[in-house]
Formats: sequence, C-alpha cells, structure tokens
Amino acid sequence: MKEKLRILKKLIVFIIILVCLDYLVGSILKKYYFLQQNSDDSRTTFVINDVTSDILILGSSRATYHYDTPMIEDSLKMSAYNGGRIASQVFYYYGMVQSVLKRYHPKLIVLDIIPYEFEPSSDSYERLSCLLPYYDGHPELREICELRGRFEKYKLLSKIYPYNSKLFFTLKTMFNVKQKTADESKIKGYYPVEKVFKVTKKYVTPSNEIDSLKLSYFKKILADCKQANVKLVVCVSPIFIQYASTPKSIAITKQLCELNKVPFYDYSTSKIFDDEKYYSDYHHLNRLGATLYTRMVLSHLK
Amino acid sequence: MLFNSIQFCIFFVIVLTSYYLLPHKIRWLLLLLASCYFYMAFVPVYILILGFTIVIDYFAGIYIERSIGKRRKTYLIASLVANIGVLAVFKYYNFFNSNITELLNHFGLPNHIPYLSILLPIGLSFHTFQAMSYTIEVYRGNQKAEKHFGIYALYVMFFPQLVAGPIERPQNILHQFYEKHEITYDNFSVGFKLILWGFFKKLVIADRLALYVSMIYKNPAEQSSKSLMLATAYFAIQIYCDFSGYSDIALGSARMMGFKLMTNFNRPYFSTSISTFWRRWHISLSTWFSDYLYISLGGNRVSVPRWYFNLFFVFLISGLWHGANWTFVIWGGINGIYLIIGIVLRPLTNKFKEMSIHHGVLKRLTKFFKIAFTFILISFTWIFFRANSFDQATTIIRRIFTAKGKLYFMDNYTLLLYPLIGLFILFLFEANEEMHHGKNMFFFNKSPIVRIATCSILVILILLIGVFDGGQFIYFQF
Repeated sequence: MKEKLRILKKLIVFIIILVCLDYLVGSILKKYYFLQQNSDDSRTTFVINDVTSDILILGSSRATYHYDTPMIEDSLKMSAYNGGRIASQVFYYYGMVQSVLKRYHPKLIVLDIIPYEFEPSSDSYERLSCLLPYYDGHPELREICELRGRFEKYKLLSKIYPYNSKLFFTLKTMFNVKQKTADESKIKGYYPVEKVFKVTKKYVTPSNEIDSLKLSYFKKILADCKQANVKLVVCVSPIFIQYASTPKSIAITKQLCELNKVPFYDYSTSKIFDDEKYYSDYHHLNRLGATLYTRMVLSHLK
Repeated sequence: MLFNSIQFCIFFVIVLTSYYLLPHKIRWLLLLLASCYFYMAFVPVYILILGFTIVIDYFAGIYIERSIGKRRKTYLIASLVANIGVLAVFKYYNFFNSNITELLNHFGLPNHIPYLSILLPIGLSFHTFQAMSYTIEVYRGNQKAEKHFGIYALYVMFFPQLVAGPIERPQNILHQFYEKHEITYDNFSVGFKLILWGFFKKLVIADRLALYVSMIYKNPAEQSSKSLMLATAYFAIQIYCDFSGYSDIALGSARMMGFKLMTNFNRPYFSTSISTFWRRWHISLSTWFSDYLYISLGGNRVSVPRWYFNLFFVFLISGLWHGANWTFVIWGGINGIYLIIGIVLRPLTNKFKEMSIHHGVLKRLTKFFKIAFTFILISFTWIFFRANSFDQATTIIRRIFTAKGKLYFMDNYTLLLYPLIGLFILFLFEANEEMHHGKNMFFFNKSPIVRIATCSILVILILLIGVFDGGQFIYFQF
C-alpha cells in the first residue's frame, strides 16, 4: 500500500508539473506564432482573421505562384488577396472558405485546384497540422482539424501540440530575425518565382482512385458559396506534365461545376503554356508564365 | 497496434491496471488475452499461424522431454521444420520463386510455379525464432518442457516483445510468468523512463530523420554526394533510434508489470570495432545466431578457413532473416567480411593498442577514430539495408563518390535543424551512460529535481518536435 501511495504521489506531482509546463510553453508559442510576419502561417492567420478583399484566391503553392494579385486589382479595380498556401489541399481550402464566410462575403473566390486534387494521399490529412493553432479560437475549423485522426481532439488538449514543428519559426519571431521578403502590402500574397525550368515535359498516367472525403469537401465548398451568394470560379492552372488521359479529379470537377453552374477553366492542357520558358518546375509557373496566365484568367473575370 | 499510437497508450493503461488488480492466479490469462488483442489489431487472421506454431512447439517440447535417443531429435526436427516452413511460405516463397523465374528466363524457359498473394504476418521472424529457441533449449536439456499451455502460448505471444523482440530465451522469461509481481516504485520508475526514452528516440529522432532520409533515398539518382552521405549517416541513426526505441518501450512496458526482458541494445555506435558493434546491436538476435547456429557449426573451434566460413555464413543467414531480398543478404555478407578482416588484422591492431595504452592523448584519439571508423563502415552497410534494390544501392554508392552539387534541403533549413536537437540529446545521454558504465545520470540522478526535469524536458520536446504521423517501426516488416 505504501508503494502504491508513493507511486500515486509521484505520478500526480509529475502530471501537475507537466500540465503547468505545457500551459506555459504553449502560451509562449501561441503568442509568438500569431506575431509572425511574412510567413505561410501569418498569411493563413490573415485569411482566417483579417482579410476583407473583394477577390480572394485560394489554392496550393500553385495559387501563390500563379495569380498576380496586383495585376488582378489593377485590371478589375477591386481589392484582391492571394491566400494560396504551399502543400495545402481541398480540406484546407474548405477551412479557409468557412472562416471567411463567417466574417464577410467576398465578391469573388477563385479556387485553384491541382489536376490530381482528389487522389488519395495520407499527406493530405497530415498537412492539416497547419490549422491546429486555430483549433481553440475557431470552432468552424475544428471539423477539419479532427480529420487528422480520431484522437486528434484529445491530443489538442495539450497547449504545445498545435505548435508542433513550429519551434524555429516561432524562435525567429521571438528573437526578431528578419528576412529579406517582399512587401506583403504590395504583393498581396503573390510570390512569383524567377527561375526558368530547363527540362522536357513529363508524361504521367493519372490514377483512377478518388478520395471520396476530399470530394465531399469540394462539394461543400460549392454548396456553401452558393448558399452565401458568393461567386466562385474554379481553375486548374497550367502544369508541365502531359497526362495520358484526363485526370479523374479534373473530369469530376468539371462535372460538378457544370451541375452547380460554377465557371470552370482548365489550363492544364493549354497549348499556349506548352513551353518550358513559362515554368520554374513541373508544377509551377515562373513570373513570365504567371503574368501570362493571370492575363488569361482576367479575360474570363472581366 | 503500434506502440507510438494513442490506442496503445490506452490499451497499456487498461492492461497494467487490470494486471495489478487481478489475483496472481489469473494474470497469465489477462496477459494472453491482451496479447491476442494486440496481435489481432494488425491482421486478425494471422493469429491462426501463430496458433499453429504454438500448438506444434508446445507438444514438441513435451515429447522431446519424454523421449530418449533418436526420437528426441525427430521431435526437434519436426518442430524446426514447422517453424521454418511457416517462415519459408510466408516470407521467402515469393522471393525464391522470383529467383527461379529469373534463372529459368535466363535459359529461355518459363516458370509455371504460381506466386502467392499473401501479406507477411507482422513480426513473424521474431516470434518464430523465439519459439525455436524454446524447443532447442528443451532438446539441449537447459529448459524443462512447459506443461501449462496458456503459459507457453504467453511465452511466444507476450505483447511487449511479440512483434519486434527482444527475442527471449525460455530460461529468462518463462519462470517470470509464474512469479507474483508486486507493484513497486522501482519497476514503475525504471519502466516509465524506458518508455519515455523509447518514445523520444522514435518520435523526435527516428521519425524526424526519416523525413530527410526518405526524401533523398526516394530518388538517389538525382542527389548530390553531400545529400547522400548525410542521408546515409542519418539512416544509420534513424534505424538505431527506431529499433532501440521500440525495444525500450517493450522493456519499459514489461518492466512496469514486473517483467525483466533482455537488453537488446548497448549504445552500439560507441563501438570501437565491428565485432564490438555486433555485441552491442540487436543483442537478442546476435546471441540467438551465436547460440543456435554459429556454435552448432563449430564456432571458432575449427580450422581457420572453416571459422571464417562459419562467420560469413551466419551473417548471410542473418541478412536473409531480415528480409527476402538480395540487398539484405549482401548487407549480412559485408558485415561477415568486415568481421573476418577484423580477425585477420587483429595482431596488427593489438600491437597498436599496446603502443598507445600508456599514452593518454594517443589512447583517446585512437578510440575516437576507431568509433568514427566503425560508424562509417556500418553506415556503408546500411545503404544495402535501406535501398530498394541492388541497383539502387550501387547508384547511391557511385554517386557518393562522384556526384557534385549542394546539400539538398528544399530551402527548408528546419529539415536539417530539428534532427540536430534530438541528436544532441541522444549523444548527451549515451555518452553519459558510456562514461558511467551504463547508468544514465540524468534519469537516475540522486537529485529528484534533475530526474523530474529530465522527464519533463523529454515530454515537452516530444510535443514540440516529435513527428506524430511517422507510422510504423522499421523492424515490424521482419
């Protein structure tokens, strides 16, 4: 009995210390996480909490690099923000749409999807970790965060866990380490790539598999925008890959957009972009390509 | 059920609590049921294979003990054939068949033997070897046959070491199932610290390093020498932390229930030679091969050429034990060659040792270079272990010596920085243990503040930089 009590006593003390430390470290991380500037995280925070632009662009890194926001603003005489995020997928777009629609209704949302958007990949769920810091303060994002696993909400009882793998970015902010970055107020989330790609086009046979959950969240985006009376345009920007057949994700998106009367523009097979001088790698346009592509998208939006 | 999952944590807390609440008489039943549940969480139907070998070996043990003369050997052979037969079918059938196909194709002949569409039962090589050690020990007269079927089944299926070892000997573990384990602070404290250290090694170091290693080894033909060298060194540490992390969790969870399993790793990367490395790495397997194969072949009490053959052969088989692929066989073969070279050069190294023994600085420098050289030699062998094919391994080796270019890290410096935190702590702990004859002065410091601070920092670091989506342990596939 004495041993049991000793174990219990030590265990309780250890748990109390851990809870306090977790709270303390977690609070510090939270403070500095939300003070970040010019990072992927700060742009996500901006879209969730602050953006009020007329036009909002959502998508992966392909959106970030491909949509020249200042050009869109100049051409349409409306404010615009590029809310693309590297390595994000449809669940993330859905989360962003939810947060934005909760606060205001933009005049237009441009959603850039990748040609294999709905193909199954375990990464898709892991990558939702970028939304964990918002779990506490944004109930609309909880459903998405919990897609990571059935025990996610219990893991999120820890105050440190949402900031897992964000230590260095937070330390950078904490110690005020500044990097040479573009002026966010001018570029509005658009980060062009200057590199020019020097290889031939890649040939790929697309997978026929579809993650039904991803598809269901895409359908939800269509439905929510429709319900909120927000104009939605879905695009597939150019890619330096030749698919043996139309990827199933594109075919389904086209079908769903037609059904919901949402404009859909597929540039993945456009002959105009069949030149490596427009690309920085297989998946991304460089500045030259992005300028040309934005001009073409604008022709549809005007 | 993976150790690094919430499911396991819940499962273990329930089993541990029930274990101490239940009367001693029926604790074995709880452990057996828990072990069945643990194993069935992977692929339920494979428990039938385990059941098959358990029944065969249980009766084989009894009959070996009861018989005399040639019959004893017959029962032993029957048991070994059943165990190796299961391994052959589930692990090696398709490998040998594909080699036969290639050989026949070489002569323009077709192979009509069908391939089997089966998944390798998880941890098959581990529990098969543990089962074999039982019948061999009964045959040798070192262990009495176990009459209690449930206890014997538990010997094979005890969940902490069921799927990735340590491969136990019956003399060490069987009697522990009969002993009444009281709840003690010492067992709880040591067990908990082992589990925590295991989680740290797996989540903070192994899975973190895996992110870089996988990225580089996915497409080695496009990587520079620097990237491939770093990824190879990282893999050496990844596999150590992955496997020894698993072993620590196994030892820790068993210890919390009062069981003492055999140590599987003893800071192998502090080894000053390949032979020392193999006395410190995967000790339960190395001693298994030594006890049951190497010594049976005559060990070193034979002619020198035969001794070299014995060593080489044992390492080839050890390679094949790891996986049905020629890359594993080559990995084993290289280790065997290293050992033989070490023996050949022993007079020379001994002479140098004598020279440096009285010279403090020279002695320390020699030790440092020996450790570094052993690490490089071992890391080289891991290339074959990690590569998907022989061609990929040779590409990696060729590019390590020829490919120019920068270190690849996708402009994401955190990919290189995060692992360094874990590696620093690993070095700190292991160097400390090395200096204090295996005792960790952080975990087992006299000051409770140091002990609590150590545990707390490890938990915080796991939450801060642990990889929670890392997936299964490398050795599960064997």
